[in-house]
Amino acid sequence: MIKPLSCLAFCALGLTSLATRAAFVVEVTRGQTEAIPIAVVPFSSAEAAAASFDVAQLVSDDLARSGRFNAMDRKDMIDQPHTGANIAFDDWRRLNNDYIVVGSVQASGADHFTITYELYNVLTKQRLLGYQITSNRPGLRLASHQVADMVFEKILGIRGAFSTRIAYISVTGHLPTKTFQLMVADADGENPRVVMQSNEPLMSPAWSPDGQSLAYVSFEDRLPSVYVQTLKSGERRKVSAHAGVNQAPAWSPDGKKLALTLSTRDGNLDIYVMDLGTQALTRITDDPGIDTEPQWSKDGQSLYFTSDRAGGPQIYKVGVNPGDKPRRLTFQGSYNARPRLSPDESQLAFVTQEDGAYRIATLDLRGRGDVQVLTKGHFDVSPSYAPNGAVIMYASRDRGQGILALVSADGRVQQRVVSSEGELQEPTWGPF
Amino acid sequence: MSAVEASPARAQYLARLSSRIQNAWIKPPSARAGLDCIVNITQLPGGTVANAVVSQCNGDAAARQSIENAVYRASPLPAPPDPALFERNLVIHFHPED
Repeated sequence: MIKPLSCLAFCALGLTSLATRAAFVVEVTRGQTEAIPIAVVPFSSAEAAAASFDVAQLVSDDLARSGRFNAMDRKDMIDQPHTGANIAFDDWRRLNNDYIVVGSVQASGADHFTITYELYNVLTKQRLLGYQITSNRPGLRLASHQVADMVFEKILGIRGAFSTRIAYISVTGHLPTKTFQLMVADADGENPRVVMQSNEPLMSPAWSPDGQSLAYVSFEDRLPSVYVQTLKSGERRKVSAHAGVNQAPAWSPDGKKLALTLSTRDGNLDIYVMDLGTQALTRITDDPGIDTEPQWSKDGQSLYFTSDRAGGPQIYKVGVNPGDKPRRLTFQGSYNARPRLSPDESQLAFVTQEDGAYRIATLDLRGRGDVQVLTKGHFDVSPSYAPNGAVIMYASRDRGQGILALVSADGRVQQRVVSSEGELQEPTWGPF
Repeated sequence: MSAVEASPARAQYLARLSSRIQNAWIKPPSARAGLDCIVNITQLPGGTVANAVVSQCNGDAAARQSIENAVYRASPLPAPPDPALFERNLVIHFHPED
């Protein structure tokens, strides 16, 4: 059964069941040794029943789940101020808080709410943020994530990514009746939506730079083809179905091209760039080895990719202009694959083999080319950076089950994603 | 430089202050190796921090704030070995090793 599902139709149908159940739950398994203590005080809400949404709890949960913050339990709060004027700073300091968030949710019209919030440094008593966000009822969750984004950025100097989305593949059932679903969910696992469903494998989801579309590989015709699907309308287009392999699509930074892996008649895999407007192909690599898993540099002038031309898989970089020669980037170990570039292009995340296990590692692109292995699992694959570069999501296995996990780009914070059903694979973090 | 400023006892006192502040510091993810900042501290008798302001610093706003917070978290600051060494206004060079 092949069934592309538009979000609009599906969300409307499944709203009650989906809105209350997350696709997965993120748990911090290793927090920063010293997390920053913060209190997010319950927001005042004269129309609490009307709003029926706990903004402060969601902000608090976002910050705590990042592993960078230690959010005070609200039952330990001795006071609940809603404006800066009412904060007894010395009391909050005695309770070991460095920061405090206070605010309110007011109805500002029919189905219209205004969130007012302030962030204070408890130690210096300085007001760091004071903003209002307006939202309709369904938008309150996103607005709350945006509050958390602002607080995160103000304190840590890194843009928050709580209001972003991720795509991943969910596999349920057993052969011969496996179901593959291409899913999109909020970064915290809420609002899961089925983008595409098939009884044949779905693989390699890739976000368009504007976050409106996904490219992916589908085996619905028994052979792999690359599709591009617009999320809002559900409209999908087969963009590459050449004889043989069509795999590993990656959008160019301008969203006009896809880099992908195609095979020649004799089964040799090379990297090509396809113009999405004309479907015209440009061959980028030409080597008897396997070249695959392309990723664009930000300027659209180079591609990082995996090749086994030197024996085992290693990571290379090549310019997209004719005659550009690939340059090898990884030299440590016999297996380095699936490169993903950090948003600031300071490092590459990739899969490395260590002690017989697959793990997520980073390669420093600016300094001395240091390699740091970030994870300790046995089968940690498919790394994907959050758009702020602070966290890498990846696929792992736990007791035979495919799960998702996260590790901070510096390796200090580790989180796992707990899913109630199915195998989760190939997480891909969407843009801001 | 007066005899008191140059004394080993004073150097020792300042080193204790620095290490106390560094222990109270929560390193922000944006802080890179080689962070080097000057923090001006006003303390009350007894070591309670009245004010902490980072003046020169090669870090971003988050790094500056994290250092000021560390000084407040370290309050009360350790007393000098000799009360004569107490200074209301301190200038601490903050350059964590990492």
